[in-house]
Amino acid sequence: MIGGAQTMKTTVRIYSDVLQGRRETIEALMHSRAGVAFALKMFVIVMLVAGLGQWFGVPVAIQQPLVSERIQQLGDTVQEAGNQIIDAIDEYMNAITRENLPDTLTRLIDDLVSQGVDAGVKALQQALREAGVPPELLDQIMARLFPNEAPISAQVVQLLASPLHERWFMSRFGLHPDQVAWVDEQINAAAGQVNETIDRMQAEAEALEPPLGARTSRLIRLFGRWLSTPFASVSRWLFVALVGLLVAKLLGGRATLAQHLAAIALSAGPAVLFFVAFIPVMRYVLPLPYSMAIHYFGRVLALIALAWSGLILLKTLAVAHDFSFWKSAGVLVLTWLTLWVIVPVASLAALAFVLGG
Amino acid sequence: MSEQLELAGVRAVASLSARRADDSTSALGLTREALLLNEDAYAAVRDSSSPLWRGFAALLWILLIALVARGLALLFGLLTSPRLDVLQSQIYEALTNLGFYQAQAQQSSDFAEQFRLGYLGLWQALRLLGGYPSAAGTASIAISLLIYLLLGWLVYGLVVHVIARWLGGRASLGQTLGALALAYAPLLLTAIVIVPGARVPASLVFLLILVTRFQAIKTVHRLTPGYSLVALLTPYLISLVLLIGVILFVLAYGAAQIPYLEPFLQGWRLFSKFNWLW
Repeated sequence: MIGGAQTMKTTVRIYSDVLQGRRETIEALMHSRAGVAFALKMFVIVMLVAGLGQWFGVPVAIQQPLVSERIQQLGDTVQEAGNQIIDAIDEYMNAITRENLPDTLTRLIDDLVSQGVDAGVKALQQALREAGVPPELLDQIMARLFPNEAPISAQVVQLLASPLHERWFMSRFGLHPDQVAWVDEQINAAAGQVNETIDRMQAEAEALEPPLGARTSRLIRLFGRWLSTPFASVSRWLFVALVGLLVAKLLGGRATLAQHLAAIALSAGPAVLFFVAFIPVMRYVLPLPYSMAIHYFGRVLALIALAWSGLILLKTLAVAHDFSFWKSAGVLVLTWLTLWVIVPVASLAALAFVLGG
Repeated sequence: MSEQLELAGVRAVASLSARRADDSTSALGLTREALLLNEDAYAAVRDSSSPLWRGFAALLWILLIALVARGLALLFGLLTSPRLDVLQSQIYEALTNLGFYQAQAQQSSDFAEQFRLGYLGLWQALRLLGGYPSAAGTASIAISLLIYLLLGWLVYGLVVHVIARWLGGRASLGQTLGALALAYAPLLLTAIVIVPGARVPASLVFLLILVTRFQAIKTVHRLTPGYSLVALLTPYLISLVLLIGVILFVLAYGAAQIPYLEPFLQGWRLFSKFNWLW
């Protein structure tokens, strides 16, 4: 336990020295087998620490809806839209009826009531009864004429109003009210079919989900991506580093391949500042301004890390190859020129030579 | 003050546990040291009484770890990936219910079987291209890994040995092959694929193998870095030249089958000879 604590203390101390660019520590690391291994391990640990920012993606991974949930949302939206359409049609029809028919109907009702339809019908009924019409027959006649309990005047209005409705709809839309009802029915039926289809799609989408569950799988894959961080980073720089070694050797550099790579690995010390830059886009779980603030703050820290790493790289290359600070800078510039100017021009020249024959 | 700081730095580094790979180091230990770019690992193989077998043992460990990792990666990958087999059968059912399929199946007796095989092949290709875990994909990767490792090791080792000896190298064939077997150590990094979602770029593994091969050649043949680089890259250059030759001749064979191409090319050559006129 004490040994472990001591090792940790030493490791932190060396890391601190590297961040300060202390020549003596860098030199000692470069010229020992354990130092080169330390540099490579430090690079992996630094990148893993920086990559921890990716874990801020956990809320997104959990909250982002699954395919089956998206289908369910779609179903709800479709159903809501269908209901809204039906309601809108009904409301529109009612509004039209109320707007255009009331004058006619009101006048009709007024006329009927003023003429005493209820009283007249009742008087007629009484007269017929007194004239000897059997009560059963009289009841049958009345039941056929006025089939419900509503006041007789209202039923008379209804009898008259229905043909009026029909005529009005026909003249306005070329539609019979039955046809409007048919449209309503069709929309209802279609909504039912859509719901059925969506239920089926949802069941099929659920069947496609990973055996460990979609959200658990997302978290496991996030862990995998985090583990890959050092390798993804080094794959971007290794080729450049190897070209840099060739350039340094041509300029009289003395480092071995392992020392050169260790020098580059050590320069990644400040890369822990990439932590914020690794935080994924948070706009699904945070308001957009906060998400943008995190993004740009991460970029600022990344810029500082790059500048700091660049300075350490100049130092580590100088120590590894026994160069001056400015010669190290020259190696970097020449490496850039080799990659972006000399190699493309030489390739074009070689191609021209081959095709020119 | 400066001397004190220097002393402190050196002491701190010296307190790190340094491993020296030697004859007593296990094959797995040698592989780990090679992965950490420790040239002593190749020196240990070189100085061993049976360098070929020592290197080959390391290669077998690497192969075993890589293959077991692939197998576990398939298992965990299937557990955490969408179930494509369900989608595959759903689409197959929908397609076989189409009128076109029914009509074709009635007309030709073997249409259904051909369609099924084509459909299965298509899905396998999609799985391979999309990096979806599948038994066939894992098997093909495992077989290619075996061929790449064993055949590549032997052929590359032989060519490098000839070139290194020509450049003044002092190692025996057994030492060259043993050290180059150990240089496959970066393949161990691919074991990370056990965790779903984790991956090591192939370009990284390729470049790291170049690095370890360089160290192996330089250490066992005791060549200068420049000659080691030449010995390292020459087999790749030879392969590239051979590949260009094969591609050109395959293209030429294909072009020769096109009618009227030859008179056209002759006309074009004649035409280009007189272009100085304008």
